[in-house]
Amino acid sequence: MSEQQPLIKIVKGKKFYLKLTKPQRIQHFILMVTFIVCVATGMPLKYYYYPWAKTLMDALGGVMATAYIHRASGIIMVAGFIDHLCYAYRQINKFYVRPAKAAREFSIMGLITFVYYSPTFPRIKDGVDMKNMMRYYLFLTDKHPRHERFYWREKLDYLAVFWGTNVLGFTALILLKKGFFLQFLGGWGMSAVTIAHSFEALLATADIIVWHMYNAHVNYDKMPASPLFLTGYQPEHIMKHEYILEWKRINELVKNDPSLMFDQDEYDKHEEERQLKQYEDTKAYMATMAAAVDNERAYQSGHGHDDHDGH
Amino acid sequence: MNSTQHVKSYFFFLALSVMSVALMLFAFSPKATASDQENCVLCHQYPLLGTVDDNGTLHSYYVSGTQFASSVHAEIMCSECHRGITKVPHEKDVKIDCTAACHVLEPTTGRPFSHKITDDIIKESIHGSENKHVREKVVEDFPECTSCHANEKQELVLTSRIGMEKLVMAEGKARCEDCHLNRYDYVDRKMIHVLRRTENPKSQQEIVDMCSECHNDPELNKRHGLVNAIWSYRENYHGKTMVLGLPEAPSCIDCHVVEGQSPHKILSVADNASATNKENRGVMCARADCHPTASLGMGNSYIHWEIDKSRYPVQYWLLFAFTILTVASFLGLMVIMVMEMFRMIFPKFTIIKQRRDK
Repeated sequence: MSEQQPLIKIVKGKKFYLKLTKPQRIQHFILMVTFIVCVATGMPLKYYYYPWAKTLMDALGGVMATAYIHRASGIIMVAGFIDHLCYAYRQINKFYVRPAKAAREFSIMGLITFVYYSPTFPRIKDGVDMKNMMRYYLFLTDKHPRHERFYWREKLDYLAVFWGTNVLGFTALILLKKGFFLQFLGGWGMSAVTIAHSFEALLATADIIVWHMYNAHVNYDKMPASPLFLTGYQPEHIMKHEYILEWKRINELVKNDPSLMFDQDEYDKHEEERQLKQYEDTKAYMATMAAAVDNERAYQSGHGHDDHDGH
Repeated sequence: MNSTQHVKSYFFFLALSVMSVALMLFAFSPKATASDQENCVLCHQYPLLGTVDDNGTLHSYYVSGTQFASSVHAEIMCSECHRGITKVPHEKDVKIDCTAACHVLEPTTGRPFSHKITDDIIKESIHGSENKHVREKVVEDFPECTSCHANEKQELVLTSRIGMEKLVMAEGKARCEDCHLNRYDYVDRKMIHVLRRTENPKSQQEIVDMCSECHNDPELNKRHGLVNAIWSYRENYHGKTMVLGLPEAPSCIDCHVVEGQSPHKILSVADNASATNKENRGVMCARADCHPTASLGMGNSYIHWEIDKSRYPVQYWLLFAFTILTVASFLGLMVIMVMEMFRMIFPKFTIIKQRRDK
């Protein structure tokens, strides 16, 4: 990460909490775009017998064009996935391996513990939360489970994408080099790979449309769309409703180190002052530049002040 | 001028005008009258000519003279194919016989033309009931010429697959006319005769529809122990792209006929000479206009597998597993969503009170 983003931003009196960092947003954006392109170019082939299939395919450039678009988009998606793995590796290095080695406390157990407690890794608490959530939904308790940064709902999503990208990616590789792999796989293996690619795509599409769209854009006060995937910041009322533990943790962090918070309102209040100061600086710069010409002429003609010592 | 002369000249003009009208009608009338020397169209021109059989099915005997005149058999008299007509009104069930020799002389041999050679190829192919690979000899199930071929229109079909434009046609025709006269449309007919054979005149959809007539019949498939070739073809990338309108998409005969052989020579998979024989499949896939860079391993792919527990267990159980997975995850998530929405309507209500704080 090149720049440290503030954990809390205050805009128009409302608090926003950092949920997705910039690299995470970029990863999400790549995944989102390539996923949509792959679905749009792949589904007409799966459902070729519906009248919309030909219309959509022709609109996207016909069978041959969509075949190449689908492949290109899939390759970018897999590249994004590999980038995500590298990102995870860098994060592990940055937050555990190098600090632990500096402290001479590095151990495999410690590494595993770190990975286990990393935000997207499924852990025991998710199972407990899920059980309690079901009890809450069934009116058996009035205690809503308290969640940290990512909870079972999002982890299910994440694991589905993780598993789906693997299945789709490997089957796509085999389908892409069909002639080569058919020598080892045989006909039944290839038809199995085709089924797996096609049905895993359907599963992923259905889960994204129903589960992810609902969680991210419909569920609890997020209608019509949550700006989280664009801004990376979550409004406070959603933080309190869904991620109360994280809300408390970030508040604690900010209390100890106020520099982690950025007040946009306060910043905007001093806008005119800042502009006036900037203008002074700009004027000073222009004056220096204007003076430089006379200075240079005087220097070349042998008069005037010489900046260099010697020749 | 007396009255007799008057009448004479009147009749003369009347006769002249009638003749000229008749001449005009003759000149602009379709060529049907020229080929229909037996005058069959005299009766068959009436669209309502037909019978209704005991099952209530209407059999139309209508023949459009104009359409017949522009068909491939325009120069052949009706009785040359409909053999056995001796009187008018003629006998029932005068079926056509394509192997009969007709009056058209085949120029290379000088003998009367007949479709017997093609018929022999069909008889030797898997579509002949005498083929040794035929499982069930149900003669009615095997196709006749007319099962696939109607009396097609004599026209040049320039599909996009060969990429020939009308302009090329005109240029070619001009070269022919350097030496030959286009009398009686001779050049046109010769060009059409040759050029329409350089490419399959039927579209892939038409060929698949033609094969579907029999191969999409579940009873027939069961009788002969065949897979549903049409369903499996459509579910395959080949068939899907054909439906989606890819001009290069292969139809049935693109894979089932050895390149360069008669399209009628479709052989059993078990036959060593067959294009779909295990040994020949890879070569067939790697045809220059299909998968030229493919390795011979491509011949291993299953094109015609179907959902069948005993014959294709891997595919069956994989499909089963994915269906369960898709439906279960979909339903499970839907149930959670609905439960959550209900809970949100009554956020305070609970059966067991636990909350102490606030």
